[in-house]
Order: sequence, then structure tokens, then C-alpha cells
Amino acid sequence: MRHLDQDQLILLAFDEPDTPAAAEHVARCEQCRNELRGLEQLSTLLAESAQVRDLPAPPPQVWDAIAQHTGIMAQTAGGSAVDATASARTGRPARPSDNRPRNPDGASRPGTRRRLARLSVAAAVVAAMVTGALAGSWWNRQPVPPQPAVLAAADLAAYGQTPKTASGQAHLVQGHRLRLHVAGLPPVDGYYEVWLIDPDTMRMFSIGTVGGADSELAIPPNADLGAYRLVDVSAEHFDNNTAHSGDSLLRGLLA
Amino acid sequence: MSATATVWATPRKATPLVIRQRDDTAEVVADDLGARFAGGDESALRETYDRHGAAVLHLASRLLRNRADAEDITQAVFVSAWTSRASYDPGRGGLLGWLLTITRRRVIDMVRVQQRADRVEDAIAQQPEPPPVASAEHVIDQLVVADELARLPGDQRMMLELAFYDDLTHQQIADRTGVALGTVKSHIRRGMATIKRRWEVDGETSGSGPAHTAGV
Repeated sequence: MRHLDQDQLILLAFDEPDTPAAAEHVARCEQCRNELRGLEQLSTLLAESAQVRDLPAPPPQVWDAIAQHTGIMAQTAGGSAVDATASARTGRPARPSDNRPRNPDGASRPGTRRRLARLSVAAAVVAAMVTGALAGSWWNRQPVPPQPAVLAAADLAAYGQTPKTASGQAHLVQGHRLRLHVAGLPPVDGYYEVWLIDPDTMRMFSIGTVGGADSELAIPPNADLGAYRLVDVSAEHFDNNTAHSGDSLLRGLLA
Repeated sequence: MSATATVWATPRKATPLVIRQRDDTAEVVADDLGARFAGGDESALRETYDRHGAAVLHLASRLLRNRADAEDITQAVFVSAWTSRASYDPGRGGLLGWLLTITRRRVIDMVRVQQRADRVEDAIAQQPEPPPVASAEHVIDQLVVADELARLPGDQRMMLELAFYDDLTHQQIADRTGVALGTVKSHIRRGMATIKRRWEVDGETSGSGPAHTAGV
């Protein structure tokens, strides 16, 4: 039996076969039936694709943020790069994940690209950890740029009564270090301390104090980070008491 | 007779035909955009965003409940795509399919981090995990196919749109447009064949497409 060619199958998929023999053949032939099913699947998608015509473009601040993060300054829709910073920050209520490290000026600097490379690596590594599906993906065949590998990341959200303008990010990097970025913390008469907490038991240990917007803290090599995975930033006082004050400002889970 | 065939066999009452003004002499929209993007042409980033930004935002919005999160994902996808542009191979698949796969991965990451944080906070409340709003695979397929259709040469695109969007039979299309029935069928066959070929290439590399069943 001769199989149907694609033209005949397409006409069959439209229920407009050029000969009655075509439909009869499909009834007997599994290979052609599978081909036909594929075409019918495609036809369904084409009909449904009407729903995704004329989709609304993203709001302007999305492009502004892209231009800023990639250092591409030409062809912005309107407004300068500096304006883009302001418009990207305001315009909607602050949320924990709204606050990312942003440079005060939009000019491309090496620091921007290095940080971007780190975050891209972080995203890639987190994706690999979470989905396990990167192996064999052909668009990841380029070697990772030579940076300390980011093993996990946490978005730190304002905790409890802390104003929502407080935020931070933590990155666990190779070599038992935690890189921390914080912003908008309420003033404290003492200092900010960083803890790793096991959320199942609330046991914890301190890894040091926050030095500024960006700090890098050492983690004991024998710490079980599978358990102690909640990053906590607290407000502490010079009260001769090393225990956690109970006043958590930021929390986030490493993942 | 297959059940799905009745979708486009239903007769419709006559409605005024509006033919979109488009340069029908153009061949398939020249697609060196992917090559320029991979090569680091900065204007290609803006063009890619203009062409596909809405689709990326649409996929993120269908999968997440929070519009602001969807916009954040959109931004992150284009930044990440640009950073890893050297690894995109235009010969292996379409630019849109590549971007949508990045989008899906980032949405999954975000959802899982949020779910873990929620579990810590709501451990006692024992809230069940919310299901994804839509199947990512299916939305990706719709977006890729819509893009392929829009980039067909004018005659093929018009005929396929009349068949699929307006639900006309081949004969009705011939009557409506004044084009001979045989020519209508020819345009539709070529258009379908082109879309099928490209959709299959995309499906092999992005993990969606005809070889895969539904599922996030």
C-alpha cells in the first residue's frame, strides 16, 4: 500500500480529501493515521492561536529595566536611562521581589555586567538544581564565565512589622561564602546580624554582621545547608546578649 | 470522519471580507533577526523585544497570578537571553521558541521558591500547592504557531486565517476571495507544510511541539 503524501494528508485534515480512497487508506494505515493526528493537532493550535493575536506590549518600564541591566542605551522608548531608574522603582507598590540591585546611573560599567553574569549563573544553577533539565539543552553549550559559582540564592523579604521598603538578596557562592545585598533597612541603635536558621526546628547560628549594602560572610564548611537554609537579618543591640534578639528584619529561603 | 474536522466545515453566514493591507510580494519575513541577536547586534535586542516581548509577557501572565511578577520575569528573560546570546543557534530553532523556554524555566523557579517560602510560613495551615494557571507547553505552542502564521507570505497567511480564524471551508474561501479553488488549496497546503516543518524543528529543541504531551 502506498502511503499518503503530505498534501493529501493536509486536505484530509481539513476534511476535504481529493479522493475517497485517502480516507479509506488512513482507516487501515497506522503510520498515516499518526501523521494525520499531528496535522490535526497543528490545526487545533492554529485555530486557538486566534487568542494570542494582537497581544498587549509590556509597559515601558520593562524595556527601561532591560536596557539598564544590559547596558544598551540606544533605542529606549522615551526618557533617559536615569529616568528609567526612577520609573522602574516607582509606579507600583514595593514588593520584596521588586528590589533588585540597580545602578544609580545607567551607563554600562564592568560592575553591571559582572553582577549580571553572576545572577545569570545563579539562575542557571538554580534552574539546574530545581528542574534537573538543563543537561543537553543546546543553547547552554557555552562555557560559564570564570566567576565563583553561585550555588543557591534567596530573595529576602521584609519580615513581620518591618516596612516593606526593606529588602535584600543572598547568594551562596562556592567556597562557603554568603554574598549579601540589603537595602531600606530601618535604623537600629546597634547592628544588623545575619543568621542561618533551620526552619523545621528554628535552631540557628550567626554568620556575622552586615557591613554595608553589600557584604560577604563566611559560612562554616561543616554547616548543613540543607537544614539551615533560611537566611535571616536581625536588628541587634549592644546588650551583651549573643542570642537572636527576636527582631527579624528580613527573611528568605535559599533555593 | 474525524471529529475535529467539523471545526472548519461549519457553514457561516456571509460577513464583509476585510483584506488586511500587506505587501504580498514579500517572501517569508526575512529572519536574520536571530543571527543578528546571537551576533550581539544591539539593535536586534530592541527588535526582538518589540516583536516577542508581548508573547513572553503573555506566557508569564498565564502561568503566574501576579502581573508584577510576570513583568519581572519578562525583564529577566530578555536580560538573560541577551547575556547568553552567543549560545543561541538560529539553525537549531526559532528565536521565539527559545525565549519562551527560558520564560517557562524562570517561572518554574519563581513558583518553587515562592512555594517553599509559603510552606515555611503556612506549615500549620497546610495549604495545598496551587496548580499552575495554564499549561506552559500548550501556551508556548499557541504562541509559536501564531508567530509562524503571521510570518507566512501574504497569500498563504490570508488563506489560512480565513480557514482557521473565520472557519471557512476551502470553497467558501474561493467564493469570498474570488480566487480559484485549486489555488486556494495550494496556498493552504504550502502554508500548512511550512508551519508544520518549523513547528517540528522548534519542538525538538524546546521540548514542546508535537512530540510532547501537555504538562508544565
